[in-house]
Amino acid sequence: MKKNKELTPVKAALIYSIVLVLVVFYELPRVLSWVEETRWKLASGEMFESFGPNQLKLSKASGASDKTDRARSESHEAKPEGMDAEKVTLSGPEPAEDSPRAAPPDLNGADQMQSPSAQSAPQADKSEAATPETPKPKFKPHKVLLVGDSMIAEGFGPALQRRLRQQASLEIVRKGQYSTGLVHQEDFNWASVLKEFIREHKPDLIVIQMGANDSIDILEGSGKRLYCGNDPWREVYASRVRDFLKVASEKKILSFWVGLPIMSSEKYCSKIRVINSVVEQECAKVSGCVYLDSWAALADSQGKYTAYVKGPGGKQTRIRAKDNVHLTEAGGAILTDYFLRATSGRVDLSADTETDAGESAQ
Amino acid sequence: MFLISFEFALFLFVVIWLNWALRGKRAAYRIFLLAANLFFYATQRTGILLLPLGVGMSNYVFALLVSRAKNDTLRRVWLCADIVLNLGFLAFFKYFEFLYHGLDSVLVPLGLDLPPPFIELYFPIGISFFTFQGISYCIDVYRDQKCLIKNPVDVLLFVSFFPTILAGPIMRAGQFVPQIDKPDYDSRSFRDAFALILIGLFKKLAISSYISEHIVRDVFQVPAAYSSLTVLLGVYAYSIQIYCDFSGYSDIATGIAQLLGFRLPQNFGVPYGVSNVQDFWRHWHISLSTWLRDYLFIPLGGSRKGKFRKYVNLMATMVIGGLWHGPHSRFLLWGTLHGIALSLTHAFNDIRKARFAPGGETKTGAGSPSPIRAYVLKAGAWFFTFNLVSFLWIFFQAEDSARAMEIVQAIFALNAKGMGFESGVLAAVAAGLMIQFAGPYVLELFSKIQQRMPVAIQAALIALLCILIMRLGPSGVPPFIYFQF
Repeated sequence: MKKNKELTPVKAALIYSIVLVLVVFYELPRVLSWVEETRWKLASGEMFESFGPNQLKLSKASGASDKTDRARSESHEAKPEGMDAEKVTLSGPEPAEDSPRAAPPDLNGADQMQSPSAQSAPQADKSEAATPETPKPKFKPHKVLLVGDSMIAEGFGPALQRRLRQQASLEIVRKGQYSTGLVHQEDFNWASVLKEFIREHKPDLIVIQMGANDSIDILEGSGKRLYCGNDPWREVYASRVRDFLKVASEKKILSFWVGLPIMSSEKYCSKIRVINSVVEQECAKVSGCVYLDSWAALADSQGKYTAYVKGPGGKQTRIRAKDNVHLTEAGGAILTDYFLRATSGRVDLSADTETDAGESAQ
Repeated sequence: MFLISFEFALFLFVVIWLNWALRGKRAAYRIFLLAANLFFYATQRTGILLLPLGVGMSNYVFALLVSRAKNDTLRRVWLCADIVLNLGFLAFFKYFEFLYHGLDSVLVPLGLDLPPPFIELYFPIGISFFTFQGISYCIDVYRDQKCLIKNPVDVLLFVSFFPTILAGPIMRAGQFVPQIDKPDYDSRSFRDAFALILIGLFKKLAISSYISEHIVRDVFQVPAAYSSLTVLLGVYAYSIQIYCDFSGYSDIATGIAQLLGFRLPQNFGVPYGVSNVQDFWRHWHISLSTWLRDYLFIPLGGSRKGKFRKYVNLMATMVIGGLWHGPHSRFLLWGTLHGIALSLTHAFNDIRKARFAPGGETKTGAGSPSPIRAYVLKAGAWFFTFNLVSFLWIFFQAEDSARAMEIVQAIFALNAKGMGFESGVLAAVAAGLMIQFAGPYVLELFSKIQQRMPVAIQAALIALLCILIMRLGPSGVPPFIYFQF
């Protein structure tokens, strides 16, 4: 009897096989999604291009694998035409009703903000581009919520948080979630998560950056594939952006959506530009949402992708992570500079006189 | 393809069945296993496939030359050539950017302008591990010609074995290669394999990823935003995170290898249960520690050339061990501080040995401490060691030295005002600390439970545990920490 219960190689292999079948059965919808995605990747020759900083757990459909991952393996090239200056129309947010501390942000009207594409270098002074046309009392937020994917979890998010902390009266909450976005909502629905964050933290300003994982096709429940960038995809994606933005807008909370910066891979770049354009359009439609075009903030003087800029002392400083998607802390600091200049006409995020010495090292 | 993915689960399914179908068929099995290894590595990026092949073949050729050299000088020359070539591979991919920036530092003061690095090197995961394996093989042959492997495919299999190629454990050829023809398995090893995979998944998904997302990342990015207690907990949490991450990976790799009939060297003991730094290194990343001992510390003279030389050798070994992680001042500082701590521990032990005669009595006649005092001393030593090791992890993990100092300042500022932490973090840290002690008992218990069950029930239990563990993980799992080294 005991001998029968000894594990042989075949029995071990059998156990593994049964485990796999059971787990697959339990995760069937995700597995089917993964099968479809894999089939597509094989057909398009992208199967072996995937590698990156974030991996999905076994319970996730691997089809949701990040484009950020994929971008690591591709070459540096970007479309120079992406550097064209885009003007951003601001719609008019109103003070947050449920936040007694919130001063009224007077952002109504057709203020326009230029993208910093005219800069000669990424670290060039962009203050002129951000100067408002008419001086108006600035909205002084008390609690800022930074939300987004890994772009907020590292690089830009921490750099902005460190800088904003120099304003002693300002409270900052940062919620960066790896491997999330608006395409795959089965496991992480940003609209409901944001609703929860707002309920819990009661911010009066929200800064958003996400979309790096969204350069993939949308698979609808019926199994229909919406190809990234096509009109049906844009429609669905736009509705998800709108739903997300409305969460803040309905609470009358001002939100800044920082568009994604230029990327290394041409293929990835073109999809990110689609995402940026959809987000920009939706921001223009939803009250209280401001889109900030950061495409050129980290580009070189020719408007092309660069992983390095001349840092302090003239030395080459890496501003992009090795995956050529994420930002290093130095890159995050540059984007923070851009963000603060671009928003300086609307909100008062300037450092208090008494700054935290430990954080002024930026 | 990562270890924790559907792709890998399917890949492993195919590999396990073919592995046992082809075992015993010498040529076919070798071709199959090599193909599986290369396929797995190629899924990281096809172009880097040449690297393990190059490292494997170069070590095969140089080991052959070493074994056939007619005199010692020639043997040394071939060995040096092998080491230089392998370290050259490693340096090119791992230290190129650092060296380039070193050049920048020289040129900028001279008024010369250096363009950005002309190539963006892809970092081949696992290069530090398989180059060290390759070097160890050639040195083994230099030391003993019986270690020579005649079949080049065996050397390639040794270098590219897929469960270990990404982050170890660092194997020795003499241990691995015989298992190609003689699989080392029994009923218990298969049971342990499943348990190890589950423990590894739990460590990675439920503890390491949770801790990373809920405290470590934020505390190490913006320490001043948190209360001193939270920062301190963040530092302890990192100790647990890196342990659960790396030992979790090692458990999964060991479990997978055991399912294929291979035994791997132990990589972790109870690193946070020890009471001095010397013991910590006997329990932490054991395969690297022993590699450094056998191929660096001992050739440097080890402890054979006097105490002072021993301390110098320890320092050198730890500094190089630190830099093995990468060309950053933080790793240099971390290795140096560990070297100092290790040398001081050895010095302390040397003094104690000289003072105490065998049997526990001092040369001056004083007796050994009472049991209670010994217990208190041991608890104090444990507390000190855990805090010291955790403190040194700050320099390992922080973005740079300035950030490390910010973290230290944030702890000692005794600031109660900053952000706090979720109670779940405390539970995860405690679980991470306990799991190192519980590991062997879990294996034993799991084996006993499995023994009483038919195959189908065993499989159902494993699947259930697997699903539960996956549910405990966050939405996005960060990569294994040691993949970057």
